[in-house]
Amino acid sequence: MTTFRKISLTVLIAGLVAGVAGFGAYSGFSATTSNTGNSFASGTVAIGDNDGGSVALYTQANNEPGDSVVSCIRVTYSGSLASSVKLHVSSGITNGAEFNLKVERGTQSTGAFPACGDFAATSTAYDAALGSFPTTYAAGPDGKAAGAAWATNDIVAYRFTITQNDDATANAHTTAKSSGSHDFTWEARNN
Amino acid sequence: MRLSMPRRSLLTLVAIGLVTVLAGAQTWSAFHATSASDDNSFAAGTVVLTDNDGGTALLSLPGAIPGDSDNACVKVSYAGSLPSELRLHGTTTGDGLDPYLNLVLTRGTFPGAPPASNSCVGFSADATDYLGSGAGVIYSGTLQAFPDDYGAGHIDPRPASPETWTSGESHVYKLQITLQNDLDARSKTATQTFTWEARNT
Repeated sequence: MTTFRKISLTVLIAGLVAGVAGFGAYSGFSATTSNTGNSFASGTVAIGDNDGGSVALYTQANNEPGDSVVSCIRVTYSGSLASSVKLHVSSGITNGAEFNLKVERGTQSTGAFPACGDFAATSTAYDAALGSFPTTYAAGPDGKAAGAAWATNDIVAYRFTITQNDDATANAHTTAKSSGSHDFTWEARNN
Repeated sequence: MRLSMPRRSLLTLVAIGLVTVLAGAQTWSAFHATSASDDNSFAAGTVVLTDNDGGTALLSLPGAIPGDSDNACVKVSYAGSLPSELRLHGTTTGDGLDPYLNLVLTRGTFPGAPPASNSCVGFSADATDYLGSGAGVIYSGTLQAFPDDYGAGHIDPRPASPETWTSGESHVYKLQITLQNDLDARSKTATQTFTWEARNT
Protein backbone atom coordinates (compact mmCIF):
# COMPACT_ATOMS: atom_id res chain seq x y z
CA MET A 1 0.00 0.00 0.00
CA THR A 2 1.34 3.36 -0.94
CA THR A 3 1.56 6.18 1.51
CA PHE A 4 -1.20 8.00 -0.37
CA ARG A 5 -3.63 5.14 0.08
CA LYS A 6 -2.74 4.86 3.76
CA ILE A 7 -3.58 8.53 4.17
CA SER A 8 -6.83 8.15 2.29
CA LEU A 9 -7.97 5.29 4.52
CA THR A 10 -7.06 7.27 7.60
CA VAL A 11 -9.12 10.17 6.39
CA LEU A 12 -12.03 7.95 5.64
CA ILE A 13 -11.94 6.37 9.14
CA ALA A 14 -11.66 9.77 10.72
CA GLY A 15 -14.58 10.89 8.64
CA LEU A 16 -16.70 8.00 9.86
CA VAL A 17 -15.85 8.72 13.47
CA ALA A 18 -16.75 12.33 12.93
CA GLY A 19 -19.99 11.26 11.33
CA VAL A 20 -20.90 9.11 14.31
CA ALA A 21 -19.94 11.91 16.63
CA GLY A 22 -22.02 14.32 14.61
CA PHE A 23 -25.00 12.04 14.75
CA GLY A 24 -24.57 11.81 18.50
CA ALA A 25 -24.61 15.54 18.74
CA TYR A 26 -28.34 15.51 17.93
CA SER A 27 -29.31 12.72 20.37
CA GLY A 28 -30.97 15.11 22.76
CA PHE A 29 -33.90 15.78 20.42
CA SER A 30 -36.51 13.18 19.49
CA ALA A 31 -39.95 12.85 18.13
CA THR A 32 -42.16 9.77 17.81
CA THR A 33 -45.57 8.91 16.68
CA SER A 34 -47.31 5.75 17.84
CA ASN A 35 -50.30 3.57 17.35
CA THR A 36 -51.22 1.79 20.57
CA GLY A 37 -53.84 -0.56 21.84
CA ASN A 38 -53.73 -3.06 19.01
CA SER A 39 -55.33 -6.39 19.79
CA PHE A 40 -56.69 -9.36 18.01
CA ALA A 41 -59.37 -11.60 19.45
CA SER A 42 -61.61 -14.38 18.19
CA GLY A 43 -65.28 -13.79 17.58
CA THR A 44 -67.90 -15.81 19.39
CA VAL A 45 -70.46 -18.39 18.41
CA ALA A 46 -73.07 -18.89 21.11
CA ILE A 47 -76.60 -20.17 21.02
CA GLY A 48 -79.19 -20.83 23.71
CA ASP A 49 -82.85 -21.60 24.20
CA ASN A 50 -85.65 -21.08 26.66
CA ASP A 51 -86.19 -24.64 27.84
CA GLY A 52 -84.44 -24.07 31.13
CA GLY A 53 -81.76 -26.72 30.72
CA SER A 54 -82.35 -29.14 27.87
CA VAL A 55 -85.86 -30.05 28.95
CA ALA A 56 -87.91 -32.32 26.69
CA LEU A 57 -90.47 -30.93 24.29
CA TYR A 58 -92.61 -34.03 24.63
CA THR A 59 -92.81 -37.15 26.77
CA GLN A 60 -96.15 -38.80 26.21
CA ALA A 61 -97.14 -42.43 26.35
CA ASN A 62 -100.28 -44.37 25.41
CA ASN A 63 -101.08 -42.44 22.27
CA GLU A 64 -103.73 -43.42 19.80
CA PRO A 65 -103.73 -42.59 16.10
CA GLY A 66 -103.99 -38.85 15.62
CA ASP A 67 -102.87 -38.03 19.15
CA SER A 68 -100.25 -35.35 19.15
CA VAL A 69 -98.19 -33.08 21.35
CA VAL A 70 -97.53 -29.50 20.34
CA SER A 71 -94.63 -27.66 22.01
CA CYS A 72 -92.62 -24.57 21.27
CA ILE A 73 -89.05 -23.56 21.96
CA ARG A 74 -87.31 -20.26 21.29
CA VAL A 75 -83.70 -20.31 20.19
CA THR A 76 -81.53 -17.23 20.59
CA TYR A 77 -78.23 -16.58 18.91
CA SER A 78 -75.80 -14.51 20.95
CA GLY A 79 -72.54 -15.01 19.13
CA SER A 80 -70.68 -12.15 17.48
CA LEU A 81 -69.93 -14.00 14.26
CA ALA A 82 -72.52 -14.65 11.58
CA SER A 83 -73.43 -18.32 11.78
CA SER A 84 -75.41 -21.06 10.16
CA VAL A 85 -77.66 -22.95 12.55
CA LYS A 86 -78.92 -26.42 11.83
CA LEU A 87 -81.08 -28.81 13.76
CA HIS A 88 -80.37 -32.47 14.27
CA VAL A 89 -81.46 -35.30 16.50
CA SER A 90 -79.62 -37.95 18.44
CA SER A 91 -79.45 -41.41 16.94
CA GLY A 92 -81.27 -44.40 18.34
CA ILE A 93 -84.90 -43.51 17.62
CA THR A 94 -87.06 -46.63 17.57
CA ASN A 95 -90.29 -47.22 15.64
CA GLY A 96 -89.54 -43.99 13.81
CA ALA A 97 -92.10 -44.66 11.10
CA GLU A 98 -94.90 -44.79 13.66
CA PHE A 99 -94.70 -41.09 14.39
CA ASN A 100 -94.77 -37.93 12.32
CA LEU A 101 -92.78 -34.91 13.36
CA LYS A 102 -93.49 -31.44 12.06
CA VAL A 103 -91.12 -28.62 12.92
CA GLU A 104 -92.20 -25.13 11.99
CA ARG A 105 -90.23 -21.92 12.27
CA GLY A 106 -91.94 -18.79 13.37
CA THR A 107 -92.24 -15.95 15.81
CA GLN A 108 -93.45 -16.06 19.38
CA SER A 109 -93.66 -13.40 22.04
CA THR A 110 -95.84 -15.02 24.68
CA GLY A 111 -95.93 -18.40 26.38
CA ALA A 112 -93.34 -20.01 28.63
CA PHE A 113 -91.60 -23.18 27.44
CA PRO A 114 -93.08 -25.48 26.24
CA ALA A 115 -96.26 -23.49 25.63
CA CYS A 116 -96.69 -21.95 22.20
CA GLY A 117 -98.50 -18.78 23.24
CA ASP A 118 -98.91 -16.58 20.19
CA PHE A 119 -96.61 -18.62 17.98
CA ALA A 120 -97.08 -17.73 14.34
CA ALA A 121 -95.52 -20.03 11.77
CA THR A 122 -93.51 -18.59 8.93
CA SER A 123 -92.05 -21.70 7.34
CA THR A 124 -91.74 -25.45 7.78
CA ALA A 125 -88.37 -26.96 8.57
CA TYR A 126 -89.44 -30.60 8.65
CA ASP A 127 -92.61 -32.63 8.19
CA ALA A 128 -92.01 -36.35 7.90
CA ALA A 129 -91.43 -39.52 9.88
CA LEU A 130 -89.63 -38.98 13.16
CA GLY A 131 -87.26 -41.78 12.24
CA SER A 132 -86.06 -39.93 9.15
CA PHE A 133 -84.98 -36.80 11.01
CA PRO A 134 -81.30 -36.13 10.23
CA THR A 135 -78.79 -36.97 12.92
CA THR A 136 -75.93 -34.80 11.67
CA TYR A 137 -75.30 -31.08 11.30
CA ALA A 138 -74.53 -31.50 7.63
CA ALA A 139 -77.85 -33.12 6.82
CA GLY A 140 -79.95 -31.23 9.33
CA PRO A 141 -82.75 -28.84 8.45
CA ASP A 142 -81.78 -25.17 8.49
CA GLY A 143 -82.49 -23.09 11.56
CA LYS A 144 -83.75 -20.32 9.33
CA ALA A 145 -85.61 -20.69 6.06
CA ALA A 146 -83.28 -21.19 3.11
CA GLY A 147 -80.30 -21.41 5.45
CA ALA A 148 -80.19 -17.68 6.13
CA ALA A 149 -77.36 -16.54 8.40
CA TRP A 150 -77.87 -15.82 12.09
CA ALA A 151 -76.69 -12.55 13.60
CA THR A 152 -76.32 -11.51 17.20
CA ASN A 153 -79.61 -11.52 19.11
CA ASP A 154 -81.55 -13.29 16.39
CA ILE A 155 -84.42 -15.31 17.82
CA VAL A 156 -86.36 -18.03 16.05
CA ALA A 157 -89.26 -19.90 17.62
CA TYR A 158 -89.92 -23.50 16.69
CA ARG A 159 -93.18 -25.36 17.00
CA PHE A 160 -92.83 -29.14 17.31
CA THR A 161 -95.87 -31.27 16.54
CA ILE A 162 -95.42 -35.00 17.01
CA THR A 163 -98.30 -37.20 15.99
CA GLN A 164 -99.15 -40.86 16.34
CA ASN A 165 -99.62 -42.29 12.86
CA ASP A 166 -102.52 -44.57 12.11
CA ASP A 167 -101.90 -48.24 11.58
CA ALA A 168 -104.85 -50.38 10.61
CA THR A 169 -102.80 -53.56 10.51
CA ALA A 170 -104.51 -56.05 12.76
CA ASN A 171 -102.59 -56.87 15.91
CA ALA A 172 -99.82 -54.41 15.06
CA HIS A 173 -100.19 -52.69 18.40
CA THR A 174 -100.63 -55.42 20.93
CA THR A 175 -97.46 -54.12 22.56
CA ALA A 176 -96.59 -50.47 23.04
CA LYS A 177 -94.32 -48.98 20.41
CA SER A 178 -92.17 -46.15 21.67
CA SER A 179 -89.93 -43.68 19.91
CA GLY A 180 -87.36 -44.13 22.65
CA SER A 181 -85.64 -41.15 24.21
CA HIS A 182 -84.05 -38.70 21.80
CA ASP A 183 -82.44 -35.27 21.95
CA PHE A 184 -82.76 -32.35 19.56
CA THR A 185 -79.74 -30.11 19.05
CA TRP A 186 -79.49 -26.71 17.43
CA GLU A 187 -75.91 -26.30 16.30
CA ALA A 188 -74.42 -23.00 15.21
CA ARG A 189 -71.26 -22.82 13.14
CA ASN A 190 -69.74 -19.53 12.08
CA ASN A 191 -69.89 -18.75 8.38
CA MET B 1 -26.78 -22.71 0.05
CA ARG B 2 -25.35 -26.09 0.58
CA LEU B 3 -26.77 -27.98 3.45
CA SER B 4 -25.42 -30.96 5.18
CA MET B 5 -27.67 -34.00 5.21
CA PRO B 6 -28.73 -33.59 8.85
CA ARG B 7 -29.90 -30.01 8.22
CA ARG B 8 -31.82 -31.00 5.13
CA SER B 9 -33.58 -33.69 7.08
CA LEU B 10 -34.35 -31.28 9.85
CA LEU B 11 -35.85 -28.75 7.46
CA THR B 12 -37.96 -31.44 5.87
CA LEU B 13 -39.23 -32.40 9.28
CA VAL B 14 -40.06 -28.82 10.09
CA ALA B 15 -41.93 -28.47 6.83
CA ILE B 16 -43.96 -31.58 7.57
CA GLY B 17 -44.65 -30.28 11.00
CA LEU B 18 -46.00 -27.01 9.60
CA VAL B 19 -48.27 -28.76 7.15
CA THR B 20 -49.63 -30.89 9.94
CA VAL B 21 -50.32 -27.90 12.09
CA LEU B 22 -52.09 -26.14 9.24
CA ALA B 23 -54.27 -29.15 8.56
CA GLY B 24 -55.13 -29.33 12.22
CA ALA B 25 -55.98 -25.66 12.27
CA GLN B 26 -58.32 -26.16 9.31
CA THR B 27 -60.33 -28.70 11.30
CA TRP B 28 -60.96 -26.15 14.00
CA SER B 29 -61.51 -23.18 11.73
CA ALA B 30 -65.25 -23.04 12.47
CA PHE B 31 -66.48 -22.12 15.90
CA HIS B 32 -69.65 -23.83 16.89
CA ALA B 33 -72.11 -23.89 19.74
CA THR B 34 -75.16 -25.95 20.51
CA SER B 35 -78.46 -25.70 22.30
CA ALA B 36 -80.56 -28.74 23.05
CA SER B 37 -83.85 -30.26 24.07
CA ASP B 38 -83.17 -33.68 25.54
CA ASP B 39 -85.00 -36.87 26.41
CA ASN B 40 -88.00 -36.48 24.17
CA SER B 41 -90.20 -39.53 23.79
CA PHE B 42 -93.54 -40.48 22.30
CA ALA B 43 -95.16 -43.90 22.46
CA ALA B 44 -98.21 -45.58 21.09
CA GLY B 45 -100.90 -47.18 23.21
CA THR B 46 -102.02 -50.74 22.67
CA VAL B 47 -105.10 -52.55 21.39
CA VAL B 48 -105.10 -56.19 22.45
CA LEU B 49 -107.98 -58.63 21.98
CA THR B 50 -107.89 -62.34 22.72
CA ASP B 51 -110.34 -65.22 22.88
CA ASN B 52 -110.54 -68.71 24.28
CA ASP B 53 -111.32 -70.68 21.13
CA GLY B 54 -107.86 -72.19 20.99
CA GLY B 55 -107.78 -71.52 17.28
CA THR B 56 -110.37 -74.15 16.45
CA ALA B 57 -113.75 -73.85 14.76
CA LEU B 58 -116.69 -73.09 17.03
CA LEU B 59 -119.59 -74.34 14.93
CA SER B 60 -120.15 -77.30 12.67
CA LEU B 61 -123.22 -78.61 10.86
CA PRO B 62 -122.11 -81.52 8.68
CA GLY B 63 -124.87 -83.11 6.60
CA ALA B 64 -127.50 -81.02 8.31
CA ILE B 65 -131.20 -81.34 7.84
CA PRO B 66 -133.73 -78.53 8.32
CA GLY B 67 -133.87 -77.42 11.94
CA ASP B 68 -130.44 -78.74 12.79
CA SER B 69 -128.58 -76.38 15.05
CA ASP B 70 -125.24 -75.95 16.71
CA ASN B 71 -123.98 -73.50 19.25
CA ALA B 72 -120.78 -72.52 20.95
CA CYS B 73 -119.61 -69.91 23.38
CA VAL B 74 -116.44 -67.88 23.17
CA LYS B 75 -115.01 -65.53 25.74
CA VAL B 76 -113.42 -62.41 24.33
CA SER B 77 -111.04 -60.42 26.52
CA TYR B 78 -109.56 -56.98 26.08
CA ALA B 79 -106.15 -56.00 27.40
CA GLY B 80 -105.26 -52.86 25.44
CA SER B 81 -104.22 -49.60 27.04
CA LEU B 82 -106.45 -47.53 24.74
CA PRO B 83 -110.24 -47.65 25.00
CA SER B 84 -111.72 -49.42 22.01
CA GLU B 85 -114.89 -50.14 20.14
CA LEU B 86 -115.57 -53.71 19.15
CA ARG B 87 -117.31 -54.88 16.02
CA LEU B 88 -118.25 -58.35 14.87
CA HIS B 89 -117.95 -59.38 11.27
CA GLY B 90 -116.74 -62.23 9.13
CA THR B 91 -116.38 -63.55 5.65
CA THR B 92 -118.25 -66.41 4.07
CA THR B 93 -117.14 -68.91 1.48
CA GLY B 94 -118.84 -71.99 0.06
CA ASP B 95 -121.50 -72.39 -2.55
CA GLY B 96 -124.54 -70.53 -1.33
CA LEU B 97 -125.82 -72.05 1.91
CA ASP B 98 -125.46 -68.86 3.91
CA PRO B 99 -128.90 -67.41 3.03
CA TYR B 100 -130.43 -70.53 4.60
CA LEU B 101 -128.55 -70.43 7.86
CA ASN B 102 -129.90 -68.37 10.74
CA LEU B 103 -127.40 -66.90 13.14
CA VAL B 104 -128.18 -65.66 16.61
CA LEU B 105 -125.45 -63.95 18.62
CA THR B 106 -126.08 -63.47 22.31
CA ARG B 107 -123.81 -61.62 24.70
CA GLY B 108 -123.51 -62.72 28.29
CA THR B 109 -121.27 -64.14 30.98
CA PHE B 110 -120.12 -67.25 32.68
CA PRO B 111 -120.28 -67.30 36.46
CA GLY B 112 -116.70 -68.55 36.62
CA ALA B 113 -114.15 -69.86 34.19
CA PRO B 114 -115.56 -70.83 30.80
CA PRO B 115 -116.25 -74.55 30.37
CA ALA B 116 -114.03 -76.59 28.09
CA SER B 117 -114.47 -76.96 24.36
CA ASN B 118 -116.34 -73.70 24.00
CA SER B 119 -119.40 -75.23 25.56
CA CYS B 120 -122.21 -72.90 26.59
CA VAL B 121 -122.99 -74.77 29.82
CA GLY B 122 -123.57 -72.16 32.49
CA PHE B 123 -123.87 -69.30 29.99
CA SER B 124 -126.01 -66.45 31.22
CA ALA B 125 -127.26 -63.87 28.71
CA ASP B 126 -127.02 -60.17 29.43
CA ALA B 127 -130.28 -58.90 30.90
CA THR B 128 -130.53 -56.11 28.37
CA ASP B 129 -132.69 -56.77 25.33
CA TYR B 130 -130.45 -54.92 22.90
CA LEU B 131 -132.42 -55.42 19.69
CA GLY B 132 -135.86 -56.48 20.84
CA SER B 133 -134.96 -60.05 19.95
CA GLY B 134 -134.49 -61.31 23.47
CA ALA B 135 -132.20 -60.78 26.45
CA GLY B 136 -128.60 -60.31 25.41
CA VAL B 137 -129.21 -60.89 21.68
CA ILE B 138 -127.02 -58.61 19.60
CA TYR B 139 -127.62 -60.19 16.18
CA SER B 140 -130.37 -62.26 14.73
CA GLY B 141 -130.46 -62.82 11.01
CA THR B 142 -129.13 -64.94 8.19
CA LEU B 143 -125.49 -65.74 7.90
CA GLN B 144 -125.60 -64.05 4.51
CA ALA B 145 -126.67 -60.76 6.10
CA PHE B 146 -123.93 -60.92 8.72
CA PRO B 147 -121.46 -58.13 7.87
CA ASP B 148 -118.24 -59.05 6.16
CA ASP B 149 -115.85 -56.34 7.33
CA TYR B 150 -115.18 -53.88 10.09
CA GLY B 151 -116.64 -50.93 8.25
CA ALA B 152 -120.01 -52.62 8.02
CA GLY B 153 -119.40 -54.63 11.17
CA HIS B 154 -121.97 -55.11 13.89
CA ILE B 155 -121.13 -52.69 16.69
CA ASP B 156 -121.03 -54.34 20.09
CA PRO B 157 -123.54 -54.57 21.61
CA ARG B 158 -125.67 -52.26 19.46
CA PRO B 159 -124.93 -49.29 17.18
CA ALA B 160 -126.94 -46.84 19.25
CA SER B 161 -124.84 -47.43 22.35
CA PRO B 162 -121.42 -48.88 21.59
CA GLU B 163 -119.54 -50.48 24.43
CA THR B 164 -116.24 -48.83 25.25
CA TRP B 165 -113.89 -51.69 25.95
CA THR B 166 -111.19 -51.04 28.48
CA SER B 167 -108.35 -53.16 29.74
CA GLY B 168 -109.49 -56.17 31.73
CA GLU B 169 -112.95 -56.25 30.20
CA SER B 170 -114.39 -59.46 28.81
CA HIS B 171 -117.68 -60.73 27.47
CA VAL B 172 -118.94 -64.11 26.39
CA TYR B 173 -120.65 -64.54 23.04
CA LYS B 174 -122.96 -67.39 22.28
CA LEU B 175 -123.18 -68.27 18.61
CA GLN B 176 -126.10 -70.34 17.48
CA ILE B 177 -126.60 -71.43 13.90
CA THR B 178 -129.73 -73.16 12.55
CA LEU B 179 -130.50 -74.50 9.12
CA GLN B 180 -133.76 -73.19 7.67
CA ASN B 181 -136.46 -75.48 6.37
CA ASP B 182 -136.05 -74.64 2.71
CA LEU B 183 -135.61 -77.06 -0.17
CA ASP B 184 -133.31 -74.64 -1.92
CA ALA B 185 -130.79 -75.24 0.82
CA ARG B 186 -130.05 -78.71 -0.45
CA SER B 187 -126.52 -79.73 -1.35
CA LYS B 188 -124.99 -76.45 -0.45
CA THR B 189 -122.15 -75.52 1.82
CA ALA B 190 -120.97 -72.50 3.74
CA THR B 191 -117.85 -71.78 5.69
CA GLN B 192 -117.80 -68.78 7.95
CA THR B 193 -115.10 -66.89 9.78
CA PHE B 194 -116.19 -64.88 12.80
CA THR B 195 -114.03 -61.92 13.72
CA TRP B 196 -114.19 -59.76 16.79
CA GLU B 197 -112.25 -56.64 15.97
CA ALA B 198 -111.34 -53.92 18.42
CA ARG B 199 -110.21 -50.50 17.27
CA ASN B 200 -109.30 -47.73 19.59
CA THR B 201 -111.85 -44.96 19.84
